Amino acid sequence: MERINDVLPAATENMLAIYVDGKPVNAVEGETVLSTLFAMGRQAISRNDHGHVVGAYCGMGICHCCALNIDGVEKQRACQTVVKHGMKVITQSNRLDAGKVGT
Amino acid sequence: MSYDIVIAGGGVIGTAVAYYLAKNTDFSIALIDIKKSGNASRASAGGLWPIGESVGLGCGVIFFKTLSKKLSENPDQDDVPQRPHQLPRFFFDFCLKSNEMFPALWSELRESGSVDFKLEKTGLKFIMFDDHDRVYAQQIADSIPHLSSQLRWYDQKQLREDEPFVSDEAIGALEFTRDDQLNPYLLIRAYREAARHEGAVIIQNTEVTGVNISAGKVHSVETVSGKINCDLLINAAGAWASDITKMVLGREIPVAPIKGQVVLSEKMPKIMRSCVSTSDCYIAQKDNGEIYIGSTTEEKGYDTTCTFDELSALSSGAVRCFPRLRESSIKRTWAGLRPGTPDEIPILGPVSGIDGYLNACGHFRTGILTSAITGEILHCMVAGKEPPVDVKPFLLSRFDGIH
Amino acid sequence: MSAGKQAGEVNASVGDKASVVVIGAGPAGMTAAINLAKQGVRCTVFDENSSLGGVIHCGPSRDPGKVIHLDKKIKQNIESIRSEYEKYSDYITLNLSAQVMGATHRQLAFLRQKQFKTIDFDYLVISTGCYEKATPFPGWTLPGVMTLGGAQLQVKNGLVRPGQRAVLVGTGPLLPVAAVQLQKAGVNVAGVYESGRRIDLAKNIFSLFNNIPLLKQGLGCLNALRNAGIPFRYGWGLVEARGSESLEQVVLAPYDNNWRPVTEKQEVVAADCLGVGYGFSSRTQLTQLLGLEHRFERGNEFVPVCDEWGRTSLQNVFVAGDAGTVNGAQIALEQGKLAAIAVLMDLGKFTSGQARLQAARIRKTTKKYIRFSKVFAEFSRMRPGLLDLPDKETIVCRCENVTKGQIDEAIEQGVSDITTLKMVTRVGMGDCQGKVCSNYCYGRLRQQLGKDDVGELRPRFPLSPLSFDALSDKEVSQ
Repeated sequence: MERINDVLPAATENMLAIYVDGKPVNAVEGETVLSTLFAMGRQAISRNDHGHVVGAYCGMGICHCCALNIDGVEKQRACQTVVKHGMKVITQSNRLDAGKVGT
Repeated sequence: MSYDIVIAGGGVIGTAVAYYLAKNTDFSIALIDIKKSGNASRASAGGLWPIGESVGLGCGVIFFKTLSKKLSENPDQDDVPQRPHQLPRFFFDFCLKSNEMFPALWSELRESGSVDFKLEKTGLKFIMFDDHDRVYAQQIADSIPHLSSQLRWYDQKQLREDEPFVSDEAIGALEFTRDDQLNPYLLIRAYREAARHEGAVIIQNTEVTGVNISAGKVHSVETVSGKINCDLLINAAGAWASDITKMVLGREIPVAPIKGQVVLSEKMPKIMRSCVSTSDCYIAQKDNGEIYIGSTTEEKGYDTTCTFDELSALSSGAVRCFPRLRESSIKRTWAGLRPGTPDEIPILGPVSGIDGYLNACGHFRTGILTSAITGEILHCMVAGKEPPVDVKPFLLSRFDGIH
Repeated sequence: MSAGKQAGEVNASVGDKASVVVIGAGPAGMTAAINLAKQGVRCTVFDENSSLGGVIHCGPSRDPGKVIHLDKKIKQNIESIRSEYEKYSDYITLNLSAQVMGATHRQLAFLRQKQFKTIDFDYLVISTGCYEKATPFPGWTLPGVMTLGGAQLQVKNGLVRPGQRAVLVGTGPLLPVAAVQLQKAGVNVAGVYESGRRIDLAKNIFSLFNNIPLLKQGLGCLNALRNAGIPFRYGWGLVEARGSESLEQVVLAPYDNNWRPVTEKQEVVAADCLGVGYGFSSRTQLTQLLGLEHRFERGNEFVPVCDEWGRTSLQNVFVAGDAGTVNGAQIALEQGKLAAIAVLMDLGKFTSGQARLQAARIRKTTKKYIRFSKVFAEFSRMRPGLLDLPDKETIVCRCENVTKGQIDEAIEQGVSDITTLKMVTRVGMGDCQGKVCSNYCYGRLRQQLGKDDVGELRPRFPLSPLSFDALSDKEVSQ
């Protein structure tokens, strides 16, 4: 998946690979998972406890609307998590999803 | 303002009494409520655990642990710690009778258009991790032969089948099959709304500041929003019951705040079939997926601070029993103030020397559970009917001469 | 002192064992820390962010030198906080990416690298800043709708565009600043809509001269927008946001005096990004959790009661910056100095005469700035129409899925305080503990009941969800 929303060309920066929904993505060292997702043009990133697909709202750690599954842990705020090499991010994941209940 | 009956306190006891009186009598009723930090009804997990609570599990489990630790430090009584901390038979019956009222109450309130308080038939399992737990469970079972039909034993394999998320380290369980749960906020709302439908008036955010007495009889109460005339004052002020008795009797009664800290998880998929008690804590998952973990038993006055060591201990206890919780987060914690009495028995009914006054306080750990029968007893007292249980052991006078 | 670093001048004559903890590495917190360090007092600073400077000055995740869309002034501020810290870093223990979870009167609890820890303090300086008030309206939960600051933060710090075509709506000085930054970052800014009326600003023009730097910055931004052909419309605001899976259209209309949309004149603008900013609330969860005395401040809910130094109702706890009253970074910086001076006075590093002399100079500066910010406080004061913007089905509490209709129904049934509203509807019981919805809930209760006192929503430990893994099996004390 390509980065389409970089303000500055990202090629010269320290790039590292993360996996978004299983696909490798170029992330820039120091940025948050939320910024990586915005760079890819992804806005609808989260599924809340009521089954609604939502995006980041406050973008600064207050609202918990950008909660994702990061490295196997549910409900991690994309806006407060700095990318790490090999990080696995699953968007629109919620442990209360019908298929997962009781498993 | 004038009402026949004024009820001081809008927690689960006050609202239950208001409901039973409003429904069954023609008296005009006012319920006066002020929100106090630490209100036990709001802090409760909503367990209906008549056996669990009567044998020192559930909400009282840490109380039992503290007690047994104290006793074990006394070498003369080294056999004591493993004996269940059990309450007297009449209290057992009081709890069981109240528990039996809930299914009918649930349909009655829903049918009358009030709130659904989400009664769930869950059972309460005491999960055993070692031989101490097993001996303890066996002693519980031996001490209540008349309730054997409500007990069910699980060996390790059966437990794993019934509760697949319980730790592999658990060796079995003893279930009290008729110990259930409900949603405590919704129960209070259901009582309150139903009382209102039946004509009771709810006066919110108002505190009783004085009680006027003449010729040995209560005739009015003073509140921040004015005087209210009444023929009867019912004290349902929970941990603050002595604030009222100081105005009525000129003295405190033996009701003291007993702090209980509670941990609440974020919403989780269903990981428990029953409510659970271990020797560390109780754990109860509600219908919306949140899991309550409680609770401490502390004598700290009206302090409601949450303390990190105690919360950590509760969390560890819960994780030990349900390792799956490690994937989850703690959403909130809080502390409630149970209205404790020295013998853990509520204080109900009249006080000699004063007319127009009834106690409905001191419900300690079992206010949610015994709210129904308390409402029924108070209604019988007011209407001059025979109460469903002998009220003598619940009277304040039982403390006479004890200091 | 480590070699190769130019050390700041430090008055280290008195060795002190006092434990001073500062929460927030923004302008107020860092200034407090640096001023303590200058007198040889060590402190420990905590911030949730991974770099220092606070939300306003934490700077881009990459080299700020190359960043074209940030103006010189901002770059200077970012640099100056960083270099001052570098000078005094031997005295300042900086804990970044550390989340404060709670506190008692002598102990702070935090999460860092997935570990739950506590630290004892003798003095606590709380400079937790503020956050944007959430404004519910139909469609506000669509992906692509963000707070204005949230959208700005993506271009400013993340160096990515939050969308291709943006509409910005709200009120106050952040609006033109964010618009210019987004535009320079390559976002197509379709329009900027300021709900306040130009006339209300114009009639206070002389007060604005109390803060020449900010006035110049604002006018510069408006000019830049004009040159870029981006419309900036006063007296306009939101009607709703539309889209199937994410934002597609924004509906806007002129607002009347009470900020009610005149829908006959509404316009539809295509956009995939909507930034909405109707002002800020002090971040008071920690001061409330500590049980400090608070007062109701119109437009800002509950703020801690502080004396002239920022000292709260607890002798050893101070508040500095927007965490006390939202006045912006310049004033926050000065208040950070004041809190430091008061702590130094308590520690015997300054006589009260020395302290007062320094404080008088600082207060003279802040006084001027406050006159400026008061103009905007009135200009941007939330008008009641905004509370009527959501319709019955609009979700107000996003965590617990509570609609405006449910809130209104509860109020109709006699709910008259925020605690009962929470119990009845579950607003504020979710993961954010009401940081998002409480502003609306307080406002709605006051509006419908016609009274100011509607109670107070008490935050609980942990201030943000805390994993069981971190809290269990820990020897948390010491």
